Amino acid sequence: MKNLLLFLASLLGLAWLTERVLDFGLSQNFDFKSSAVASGKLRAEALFQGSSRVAMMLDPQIFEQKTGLDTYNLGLNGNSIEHQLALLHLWLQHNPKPKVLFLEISPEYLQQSNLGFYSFYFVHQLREPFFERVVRQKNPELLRASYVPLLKYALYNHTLVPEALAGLGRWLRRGAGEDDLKKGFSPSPFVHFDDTFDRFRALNPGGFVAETDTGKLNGFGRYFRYANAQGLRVVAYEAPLLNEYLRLHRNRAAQLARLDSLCRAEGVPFLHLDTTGLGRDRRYFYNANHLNAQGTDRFTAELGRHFNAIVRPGGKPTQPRSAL
Amino acid sequence: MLFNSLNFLVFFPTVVVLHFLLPHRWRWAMLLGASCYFYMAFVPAYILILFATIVIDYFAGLWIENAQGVRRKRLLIISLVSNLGILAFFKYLGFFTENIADLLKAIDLPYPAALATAASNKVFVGVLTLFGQNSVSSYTEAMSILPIGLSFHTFQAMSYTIEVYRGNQRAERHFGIYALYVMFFPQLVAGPIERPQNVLHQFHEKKTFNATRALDGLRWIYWGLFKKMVIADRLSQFVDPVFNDPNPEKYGALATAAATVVFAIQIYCDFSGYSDVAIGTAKVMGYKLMENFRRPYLATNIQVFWSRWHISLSTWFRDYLYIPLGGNRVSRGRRYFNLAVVFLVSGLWHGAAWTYLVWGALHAVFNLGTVALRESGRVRLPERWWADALGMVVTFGLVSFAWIFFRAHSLHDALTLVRTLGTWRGWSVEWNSLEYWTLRTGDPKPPYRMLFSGIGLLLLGLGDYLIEKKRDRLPGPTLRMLRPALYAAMVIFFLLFAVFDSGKQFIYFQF
Repeated sequence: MKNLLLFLASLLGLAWLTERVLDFGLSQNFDFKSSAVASGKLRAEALFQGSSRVAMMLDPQIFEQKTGLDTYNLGLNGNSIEHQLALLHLWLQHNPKPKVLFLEISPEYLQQSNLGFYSFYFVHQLREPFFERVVRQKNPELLRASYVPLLKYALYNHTLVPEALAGLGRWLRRGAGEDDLKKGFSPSPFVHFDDTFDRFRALNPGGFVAETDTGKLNGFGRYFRYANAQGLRVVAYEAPLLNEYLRLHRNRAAQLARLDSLCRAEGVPFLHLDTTGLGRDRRYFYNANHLNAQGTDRFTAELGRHFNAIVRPGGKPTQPRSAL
Repeated sequence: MLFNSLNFLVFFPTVVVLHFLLPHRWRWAMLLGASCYFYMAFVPAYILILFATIVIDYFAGLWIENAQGVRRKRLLIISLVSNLGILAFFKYLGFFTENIADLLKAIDLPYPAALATAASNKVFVGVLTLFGQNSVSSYTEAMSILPIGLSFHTFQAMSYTIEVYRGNQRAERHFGIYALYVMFFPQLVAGPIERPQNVLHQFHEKKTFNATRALDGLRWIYWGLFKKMVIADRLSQFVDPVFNDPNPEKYGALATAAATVVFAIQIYCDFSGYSDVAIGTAKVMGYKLMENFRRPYLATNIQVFWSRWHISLSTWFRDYLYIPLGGNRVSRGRRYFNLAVVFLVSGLWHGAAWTYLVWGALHAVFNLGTVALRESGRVRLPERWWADALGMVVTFGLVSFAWIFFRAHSLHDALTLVRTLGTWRGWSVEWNSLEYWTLRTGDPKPPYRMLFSGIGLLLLGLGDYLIEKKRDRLPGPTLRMLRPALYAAMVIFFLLFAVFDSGKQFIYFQF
């Protein structure tokens, strides 16, 4: 019995200590964007938010060259608007307001409300009120698990343990900071167009109709209203998609119209880009939804030009483009 | 029930506590009930199949013991045919019917081919419907819901009647204990395939709780789960992309070779991990199961490999197939033939597919080659370390190559992978393909995980070893403090590095 008690006491103590170490490790790893935001060390005149289609498809350095605005890429894998809103809260709590806030939106994100939300992003900051709120809503089990030392890390150890270890390593070498990212930008490692789209098309030769989740649409509305209430200037845009893929999406025009109407109602300009025809050429993509490095460079430069020409004071946003 | 599930975390301590709380005369009933529950966690109705084989073999054992001469032999044959019949029906009917149908089509008899397929499909689906499997329309759809571990417990049951027939084992009078011999939950679904002489008597013996033995058992369980959940399940992320979708354009020779080697490690950790948990689980309760793996990848030739890999199966084939066929006491040609038969049957035991048959055939070729070389006396390596090292590398290479056929979904896939291995497209292309492969695993920052888990593993293992080795020299209070702290650290390590979210089955469950 004595041994058992000793074992349980050691387990509890070690688990608590390990959890603190991992929390600290993650807080030092700015590749983990919520850590970077919570550090209060970020400054950006242009702040980009959105899914992996921002994280990997918007190079802040190129955008800075084109616009002269100090830029940070706050894109996060997963297309949940709740991610973006919680991160925006965190940004505004710890860092100065950006001059312009860019949000990448697409009809792609109006479906499957339960997908595209990754709880592991918030594990080490569950006590932040807006993170706690969003996790309580999306994944209450994680909140319950967080009361048992280390269990929250065990649930997501695949991602979080290496990231925390990377953070500790980074802290030991140079202090907190980014390792792989550059101002939040995570360059795509893929170059060649893979076969996922062709497989998808083979399964859907007649195209597909995507459902519209009004909850998601409302989420965008909440995001715009919060940003407006904070006095932020918001610009929405849609990054390029492969045209072959767009042609399969049979109700894209209707979904795009709903986004347009939402943006108009909230007074947010919605840029429809891709005038250089990136979407026509597979060479710029590694799958139907993601540009490769070459495509990203061209697209970021194009977005910068659009911003200068149209959105900056005196300019007007482009008119909604009809769906392809 | 899976060993790597939360259910087992509740199930096992409950069984252990009950086992030692109950009086000896009721333990068999509790263990049998627990084993039934364990098995029924997969597909409950299939326990009826197990029950049928248990009833047949129980009575066969009693009757064989009392019979003499031809009648004794006839009873054994009836028992074996019953066991193999069930195995053949559930596991091989589809394979044989489809191949016969293909043969009939090839000789321009499409009508009988279609008839044979339709008829056997109908019988098969009808029987599965009796077991509540209504969603299946053909045997090709049924692979994932077939009785789990069927080949394991069938072979264990057969070893009982054969040993009774040979006079090496007295027939078990107690029906419940015989049923427990077949169904003992630690080794029910993936072995080790036990022999009655080793296990049956243990169920009659009164077991008392022994803390040292229980601790040792828990240590086996820990390392078994470690091999499975920390190593094998992680490695599967590297193996699956290549083997589930063989595509020379995506994964070149280098990536395919790497995935093949990784699979060799994965399957070892997966299967030996299961055996370790089985041995440890039984050990905590005071039962001793046979060793199933003995560092097989350190074997210096393929024959040594087979004396160390899945020992309970290879010795089963040796005792109940190779020796009855004549063993080593026959002419050289016949001996070679016997050896080939054993490996082909071993391949077929693993699964009803050409891939397994080719895997068995490859091992037959490797083994025959080794025997022939040795007997010819042409190749003699000196007894030096480098010769052993060379032997290990060659053996590992051959075994890994054969695993391609074992893991591939079809013969076509396996041949595509083999062709890819033989097509070198230059360093830069191959390197790109290797990079693409590692990226596709979705494993973020693998060097950190590898590095830290490797160091952690080494420290924990070393700590465990040192405490065990120096226990007599360590002062009592220090030892008392060190042990719990070390075990707590082992649990923490496990929580940080095991795969919890996939609930992956053990590879050998499908057999």
